[in-house]
Amino acid sequence: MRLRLIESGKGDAYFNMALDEAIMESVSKGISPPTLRLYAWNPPAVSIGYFQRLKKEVNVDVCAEKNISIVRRITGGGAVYHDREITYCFIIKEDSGIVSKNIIESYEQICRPLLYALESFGLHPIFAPVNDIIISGKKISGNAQTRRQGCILQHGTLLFDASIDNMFSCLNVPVEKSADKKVADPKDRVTTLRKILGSDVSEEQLRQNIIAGFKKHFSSEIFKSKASCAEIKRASFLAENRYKSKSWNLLR
Amino acid sequence: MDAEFSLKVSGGKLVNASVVFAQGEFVQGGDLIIASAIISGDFFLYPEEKIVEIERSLSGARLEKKEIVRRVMSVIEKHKLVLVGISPDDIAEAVMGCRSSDRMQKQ
Repeated sequence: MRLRLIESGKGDAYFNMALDEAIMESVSKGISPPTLRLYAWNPPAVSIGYFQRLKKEVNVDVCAEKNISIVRRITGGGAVYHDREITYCFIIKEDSGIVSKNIIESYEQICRPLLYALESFGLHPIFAPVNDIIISGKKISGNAQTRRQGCILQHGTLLFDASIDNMFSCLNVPVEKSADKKVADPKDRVTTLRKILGSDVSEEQLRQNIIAGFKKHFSSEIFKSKASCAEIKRASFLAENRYKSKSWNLLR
Repeated sequence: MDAEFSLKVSGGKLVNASVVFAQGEFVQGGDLIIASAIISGDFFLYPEEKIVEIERSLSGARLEKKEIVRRVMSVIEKHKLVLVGISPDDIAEAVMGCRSSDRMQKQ
């Protein structure tokens, strides 16, 4: 498989979500090949899952005070704080024969490159179904997948050096969420690569390990590219008309 | 009156039911009737947009677990939906949780 790699750097929350969707549309139409996109967020942001209620999940006042954007994703799953982390988005046609048609299996399959990336640092990450990666019982990666227009889109985050304090000042963690957890304080259930490995590890190393993981697990010939003009144009439209809109972000 | 209840599924996801009950309408035996419901949480449903079909299916339902499960299952089967991280039973449990009076708020 020839896998297009787009390293799009830092973008705002609305454009980031819009570009994932625009690429999916383009892959769906056969205009673009299967794509791995790596990106970051500026300003920092909180993304919430499709089925979540914004005001229930997010401390809107703190986000406004700290200039943290809030955006709803097209994927389910939980709220994510995006700062000093690497976000990936992997998009492929459902009928490619490369990714399992079974949704549960495909989550793990697409997380394998991330496991590989962490194992390359000598760590022992574990895939925790449905959609998390943990190290020593702490979450370091959350992932979310949608299937639309004949495509699989899975995006997720690998925490590099995010401030756990900032994360939990923005997110309202419901008490019920701790019901089946051994560790009561949500802050103690999350970790970052820097927390584990210290300052020797670089974000660039992590990025290269992720790319190597996708190359290995999807037998990919990876070629670097940029999003096409059509994808950028469509993403700009979606950012303005959907992802920035109150009707979308306050949908539920 | 309306009510809200969250349920964390062991080894799964969180599901929250926010229910508005029909005013002054009770069936025989005193069961409450659901006027409208919003089902939210960090679960997954494919395709996502069909969550509104599940919610709509609950309008007019008695607050009775078997009936809620039956209605949710019916939508899932009709549209061939895939629900991940929670089950129809969990949705019904969350909705039924709205019954407990300490979580209800009179408007």
